[in-house]
Amino acid sequence: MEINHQQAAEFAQLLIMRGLGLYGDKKMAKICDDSGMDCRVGSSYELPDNENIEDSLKKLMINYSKFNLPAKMTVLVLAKKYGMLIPEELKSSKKKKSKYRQKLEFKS
Amino acid sequence: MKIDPEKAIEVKPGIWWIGWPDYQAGFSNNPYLIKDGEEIVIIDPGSRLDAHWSIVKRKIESIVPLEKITMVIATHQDPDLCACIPFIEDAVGVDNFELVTTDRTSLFMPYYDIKSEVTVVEDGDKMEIGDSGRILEFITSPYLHFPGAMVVYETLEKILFSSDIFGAFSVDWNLYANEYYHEAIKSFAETYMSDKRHIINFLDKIKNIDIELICPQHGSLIKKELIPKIIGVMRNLEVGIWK
Repeated sequence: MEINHQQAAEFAQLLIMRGLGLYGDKKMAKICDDSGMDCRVGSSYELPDNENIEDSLKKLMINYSKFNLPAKMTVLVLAKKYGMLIPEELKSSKKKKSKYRQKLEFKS
Repeated sequence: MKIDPEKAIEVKPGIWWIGWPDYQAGFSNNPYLIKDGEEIVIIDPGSRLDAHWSIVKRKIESIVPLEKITMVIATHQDPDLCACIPFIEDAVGVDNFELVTTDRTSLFMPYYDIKSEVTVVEDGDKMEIGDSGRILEFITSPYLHFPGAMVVYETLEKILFSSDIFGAFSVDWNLYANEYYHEAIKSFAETYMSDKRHIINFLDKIKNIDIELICPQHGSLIKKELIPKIIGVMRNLEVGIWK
């Protein structure tokens, strides 16, 4: 799916700014570095000139979500607001079996 | 059929109402129990006040021993739904039952001193329970009246466990809704729901679901014949007007 660069840039800027506010420079610098994103956000933010920008955005979302559950919820809400594709890794499996059934099947 | 509210009442095969009426405050509570094979599911078990929990516990134990519970579902985190979960945890053991809720609601479970791990479900997730092909589908109902609220649709008997949605204040309580129940719903929804957009969003999500019975957390159970009228009333509710 083609991403809207303007919206994606706003999304990334907002997420990184929130991360800087909530988790600090060092942690966000590492997350941005691991994701291939620029951590320097100012009044305007441009996506890095990167052929794999979609992959970088996906990594940013996944890595940010690893902070904790509220961080994941932030990613999901902002992704919805900015029309970002939510990575499969952040979605649940949809069809599950109760733990009780899993145990039963494991035993048999 | 005369109903004895002192007893657990089987509302559909394998599904019991284990709640209690409140003829004074009109804030009746409706926990439910599903028994399918060896699996025992409690939906929104309720308050920890002895006057409330003693009734729910007695009703559960009239069907199965408390320690046989395998799953507790919390449709949101309010104390009238969740505060007694630690009593179940004490009886069953930490992590010996599955506690199911949404991500946002899961954050509040430790505040009740619940130590068991939470299984987080998302909108549209389905879970198979029991031996009869019974599926529980989890449908989120954001902001009704909590961001992380959800309802549960049970596919075998086609029951919608609707949490606070379709709930009502009911001093003159009956287990099953009568033809005037929509007015009782208004008194509850107008007080608790903040924005009509959320109600419409939710009603759109469930509009293609075949529902035989709606089982809300407060008020009365709604049989199929009353559902279209009540959904029509819900679509036109004026909410968020409390100041």
